[in-house]
Amino acid sequence: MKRVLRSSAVALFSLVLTSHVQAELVPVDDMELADYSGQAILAIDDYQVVQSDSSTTEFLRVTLGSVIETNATFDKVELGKYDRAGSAAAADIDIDNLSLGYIDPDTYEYVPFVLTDPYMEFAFSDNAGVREVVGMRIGAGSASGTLTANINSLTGNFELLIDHDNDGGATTPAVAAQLLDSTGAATNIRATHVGVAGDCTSNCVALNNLASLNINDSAAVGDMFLSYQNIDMAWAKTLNDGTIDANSLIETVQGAFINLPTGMTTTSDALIGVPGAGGNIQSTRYTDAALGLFP
Amino acid sequence: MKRPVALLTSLLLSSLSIADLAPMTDEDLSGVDGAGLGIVLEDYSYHAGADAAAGSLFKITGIKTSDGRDVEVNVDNIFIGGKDSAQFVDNGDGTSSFVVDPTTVNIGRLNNPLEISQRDGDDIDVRAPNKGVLEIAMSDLADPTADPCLKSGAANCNGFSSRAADASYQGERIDFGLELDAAISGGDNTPLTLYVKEAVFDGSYIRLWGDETATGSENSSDQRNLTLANIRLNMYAPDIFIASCGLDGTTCGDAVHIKHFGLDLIVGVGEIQPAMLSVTPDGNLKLEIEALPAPTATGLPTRIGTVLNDQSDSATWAATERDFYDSYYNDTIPGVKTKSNFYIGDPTIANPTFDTAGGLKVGDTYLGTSKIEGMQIQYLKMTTHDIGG
Repeated sequence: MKRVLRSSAVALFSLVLTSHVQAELVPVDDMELADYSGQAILAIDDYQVVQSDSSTTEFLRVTLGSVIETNATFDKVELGKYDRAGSAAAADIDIDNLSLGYIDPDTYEYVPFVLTDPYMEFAFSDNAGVREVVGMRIGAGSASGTLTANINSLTGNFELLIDHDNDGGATTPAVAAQLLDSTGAATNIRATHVGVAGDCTSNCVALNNLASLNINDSAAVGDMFLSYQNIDMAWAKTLNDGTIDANSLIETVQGAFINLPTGMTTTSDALIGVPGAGGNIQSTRYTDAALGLFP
Repeated sequence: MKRPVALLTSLLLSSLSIADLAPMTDEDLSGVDGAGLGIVLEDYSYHAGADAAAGSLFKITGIKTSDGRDVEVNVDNIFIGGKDSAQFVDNGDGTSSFVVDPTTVNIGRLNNPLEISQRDGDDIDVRAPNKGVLEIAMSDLADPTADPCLKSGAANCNGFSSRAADASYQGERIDFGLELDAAISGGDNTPLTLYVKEAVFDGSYIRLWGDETATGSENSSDQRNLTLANIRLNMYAPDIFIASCGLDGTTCGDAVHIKHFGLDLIVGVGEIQPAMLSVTPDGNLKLEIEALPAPTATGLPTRIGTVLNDQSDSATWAATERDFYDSYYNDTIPGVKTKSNFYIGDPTIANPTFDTAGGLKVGDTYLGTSKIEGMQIQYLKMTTHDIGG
């Protein structure tokens, strides 16, 4: 009896409420319902990579299916701060005034930085049958837009081509720039300069003096990502359609590491924004003097 | 018999009284302040999925790999408790076992509880003028000395209103964690263990209000009656472990150990830059943070002027255009924060047992402290899409 009464009460309650709101409801017919399907915004992938020492590393990646457009600024990004033998720099990655995206100087509208299919990934090694975490990284299937920063030190890859004579490679082919230390020696650990190794007189510029960079994924260095690992190891490249290419690897070093593909072909002058040379430092705040919005 | 009849009667009366309810306008709601509910959970602990071998676990299905294979995520040992609710026990062979046995914790304090309340949008720490704002908040960030713990390696993090446990009280800091295993068809099982010790969320809140004129970033003619939000997520934890412990949790190898984690995340700034969550016509989610309006030749942009001039500090606000933009970029607008911070102190990859005891051993790796300071989102639009193969 109790159960009957309880059911009656619930039914009556439902009917009373329904009578108040039914006018707002529009039924969805079967044809319409058939157009709806589950939206899978998460994907989980695993893959293996045989490292240069013949060991095997296993990876687990969680991808969020999304497109992120943003204009964001950061006062300080300091990753991997510890004493590192042979380096005077304080941190693996040390960046002041990082900006993603910029403000159009003509329309004053935001031109965003775009990340597609961001992911988080873990790396595991097998130590005598025991699985151990050896690294983690965050990145995006594709990244494009303008990045402006004063880079004090950088551990990673920085892909761009330097065209010495600015003729599009017609007479002298453009060469791949390398990360350098302050003496012009090539290094991808806590680098302070970028240019051509051994030639820090004319084709070498300080990373903390760069104009805005155009970030664009390329087949050469793969996607933009940030990683931490406790050993020198390789991660798989991600193609622009989101495919993980476990046969195409990006070598990283112990510590914090950033993979920065620009796809740019530029000159040393343009790289540091010498007026008329083709490079610019884009405005990222409405108070920037270059926009001329305020006296 | 009496109780169902009473229930039925009250339901019928309720239905009759609906006709007498009159909606409150935004103006009415904005005049209500401080009406709310304080919540304290005393001696709380939660533990689910304690016996995964017997099938006591959550299964998450329907996820696929990017090439279309099925993924089943099994989640067990979900727990919330007080200090030392879990530990890594040395197996004596270089590995450890993850053992969960939750203790109790108080969530909130009687003098500083969790709160669900109606806020006046005219308050300068809300900055949603002429609106009634629903706020769900954790305990206050009572002591300003706690603030550096959210963005730097401050040595003394005892300034939160949520106290660390000691001999005389169990405190209000929360241990929580879980174990999960991603089983991929045609691939390996990948177990992951997360353990966060003595976490504090003081000062966190979510604020919600409606705006019948909001449009989002795309179609200015499409007024969508959106729900606007401001979120502040604060978190401090002295220890976080990320490990891989085998399917039964008894063979944990080296793990990531973060010894000071701080997060001070701002999503939306009053009605200057509200956050908006909506659904696209094709059924995907969209999160936006409205773009900071550009300066105009005739003074403050309308939206900014409305927010500033309607606030109770309008008399003291030197509302020139330049003042506003300088204050925004310098994070000095009275009452509200515009910048976020993130701090990872002394991360190592090491045996969690040895690491808990303090100090590194040969073979352990120190990855160096990391921080992101002063992150300011001037514009954001995130739209999800179908990704599963």
